[in-house]
Amino acid sequence: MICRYTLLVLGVTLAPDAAWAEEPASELPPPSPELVAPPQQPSGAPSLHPAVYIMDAEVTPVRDSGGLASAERSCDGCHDVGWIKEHDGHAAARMAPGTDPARLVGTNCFLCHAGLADNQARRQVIDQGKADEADTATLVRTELVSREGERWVWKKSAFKEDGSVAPEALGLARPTPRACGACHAQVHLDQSPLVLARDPRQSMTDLEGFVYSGQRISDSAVNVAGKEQLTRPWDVHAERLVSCASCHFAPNHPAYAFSNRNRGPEHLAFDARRIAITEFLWRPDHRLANRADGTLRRCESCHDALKVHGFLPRPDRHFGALACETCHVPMVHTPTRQETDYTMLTTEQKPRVVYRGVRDDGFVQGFRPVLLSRLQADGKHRFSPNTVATTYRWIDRSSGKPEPVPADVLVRAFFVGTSHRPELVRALDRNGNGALEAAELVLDAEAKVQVARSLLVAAGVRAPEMVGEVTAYELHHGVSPGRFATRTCDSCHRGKSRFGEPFVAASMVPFGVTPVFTSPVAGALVRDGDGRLVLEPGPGPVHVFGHTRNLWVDGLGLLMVAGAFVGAFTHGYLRWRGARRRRQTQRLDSEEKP
Amino acid sequence: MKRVYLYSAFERIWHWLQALTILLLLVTGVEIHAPAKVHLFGFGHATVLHEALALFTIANAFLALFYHLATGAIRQFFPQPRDFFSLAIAQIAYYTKGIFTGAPHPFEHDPQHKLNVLQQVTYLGVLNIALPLQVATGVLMWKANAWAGLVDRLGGLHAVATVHVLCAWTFAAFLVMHLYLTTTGRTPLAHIRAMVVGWEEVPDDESAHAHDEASHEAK
Repeated sequence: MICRYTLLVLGVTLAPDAAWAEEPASELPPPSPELVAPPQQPSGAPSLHPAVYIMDAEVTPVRDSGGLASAERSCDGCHDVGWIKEHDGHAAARMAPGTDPARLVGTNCFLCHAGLADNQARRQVIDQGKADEADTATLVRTELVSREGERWVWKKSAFKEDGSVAPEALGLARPTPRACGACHAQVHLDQSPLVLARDPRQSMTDLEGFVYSGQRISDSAVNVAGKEQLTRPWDVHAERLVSCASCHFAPNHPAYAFSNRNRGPEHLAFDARRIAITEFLWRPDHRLANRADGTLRRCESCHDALKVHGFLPRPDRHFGALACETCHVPMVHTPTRQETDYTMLTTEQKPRVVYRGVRDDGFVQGFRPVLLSRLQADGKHRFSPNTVATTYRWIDRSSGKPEPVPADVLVRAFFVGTSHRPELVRALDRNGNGALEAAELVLDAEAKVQVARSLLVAAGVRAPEMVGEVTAYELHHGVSPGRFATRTCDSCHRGKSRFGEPFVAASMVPFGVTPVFTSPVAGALVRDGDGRLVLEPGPGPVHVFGHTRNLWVDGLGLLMVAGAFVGAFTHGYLRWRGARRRRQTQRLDSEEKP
Repeated sequence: MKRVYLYSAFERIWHWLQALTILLLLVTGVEIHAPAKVHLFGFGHATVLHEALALFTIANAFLALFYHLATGAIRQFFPQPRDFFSLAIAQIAYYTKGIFTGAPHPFEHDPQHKLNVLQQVTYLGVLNIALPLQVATGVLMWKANAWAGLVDRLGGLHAVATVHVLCAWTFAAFLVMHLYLTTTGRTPLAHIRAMVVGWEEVPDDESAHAHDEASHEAK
């Protein structure tokens, strides 16, 4: 140990800039694999899946019946759909209390397993109230079915003679990132410059800023400020062709089962027991690996961080206190939702939405996530990057429990036709131009709230009340390669560091509203001088050298040292004065003597 | 005046090494504690240097303990119960009054009696309380991850670090006083010179028990 430290001291002395030096800026990283590897094909790729019969609800091939397709009936028989539905995380999420009813209908086998599935078409029919057509609409991009007026018409020539369909015609396969992205996040796999879709239903992109793409940010069409320097991919795992299912796998998948060291007997590094592939295909567990039960693949499931963090002093301490994402998600380069304000609707009769990370000139500048101490999958608290989104809404407490005021009631209360009600305009129109502009659509004064409340009461809401909710989203995606990770010590180890850095949760707070967290967060919500809602992270259980201070200890210490100096100087001065007097006395004595 | 051999070569080398490492420990410690205010090595380098110096200081402290035990010099650090209070009062009276009027030092230095009673009490506190506490808390911070349970039982890393910092401030204050008191010899640099060359000039009456130069050379 002493030898090691002697060498370290020598290293520090002789090469002060070597250990923590940044890579030279002129050294460009290798090109993204997407530029040299063929892009993933949604269809046409050979499939081992046998031909399938697309059935209707009566288990009759749709080619013959011409009815609406039923994915459940089509897949049942070869796969135990009943069992799968009982072991489906998505189904459980859809049935969770408070879920939007539109989501209760929904996902079907085709949506995730058919490469040619069309989620837009599926959503369209659901929005039109034709949920029974959802499975058929999902297949509209295949050549099997088309919409003619109000009818769905099956193209018989696209079927085989026996009525079955070749798997390639559907693109049947293990779910691709494109399939997951249809609902969760924007996925961009081809070589065209990426353009942000800004679909609020892709919540991971909308709320967390995650874009699944291996394309370099600098190669995209997104107007990111300073993007010529951003030669990192949007997501390093997408660049390295790691798919969503690589981490969010079926827990009983033979290739993945018990691969996580947190599962199974503690002493087993590898459990050779597996179910047969046929058993898995019969009953694949759709409760995909997740954090709650420890099945989700974590960074350390694939990466041995100790082998590549030699530059980091005390890596064990860092890994014990920080999630990997803390350094590897240093910035989010997409606009993310900061606040959604349902308390006053825009002229388009939509809630007022504010995105963070966008400059006034429209360029995306991104933002640095806020570091919060959060419970990790291994049961330990670590600091991890987060973003927060605030929602303001009207609720009605007349029934005893708070019920959100529905959007149609808000429209009825605040609008006459397509215009805001005159009394609302009078209360909110600050510049007096007779119209409500975006900046004016805020209930930031008591008088404005009273007008809005009276309109809601008139619309039938008996006890309207405004509430504010702040939700923190931990960032696990959009990971950057090591060369773009946070590497400088003073990012954290200084007085004003990333720890405790305030984070804007909302641009304003409606009058009389005290926003609360939807789940426990180690921090406090305060209002800054500009009236913004700011999240001030708490210190958490971690002591950060150079950042965490104990003011009374430092004050006492300074007092001790200052006291020592004052004492020494005073004592020294008195000694010097005494010595001078003695010398003067001696001189006078010597002068008096003849 | 007589020249008295007060400090052996080992004692002098040990003292100056210890002085240098403690000074560097304080400097690097301040940089780790307040990197925005002090920037000499950089936080990462300061951390590694601080840990390496701490290991060196511990090793040096154990060497010194062995030396003082083996030679019996450790006895010099223990105040004798006999006349303790009268000697302490005399020493305090000298520092608060006599030193300003040119009164003779109440304590007679010689190779077997290098520390006055106030120094003995101070060193007992520093070497038996502050230094072990500083080392223990430093080691706990160093191994905080491996010994997380122990650190938690002691109040967590924050509590341990607080004690460490408080001890460091104590050492800094002690250093200031120690440096000042070195100037209270026959001349302001007499004590420091003695710690460099080993010899110090003392009045004849103060070296009654001392080895004189001739006897040392004869040895």
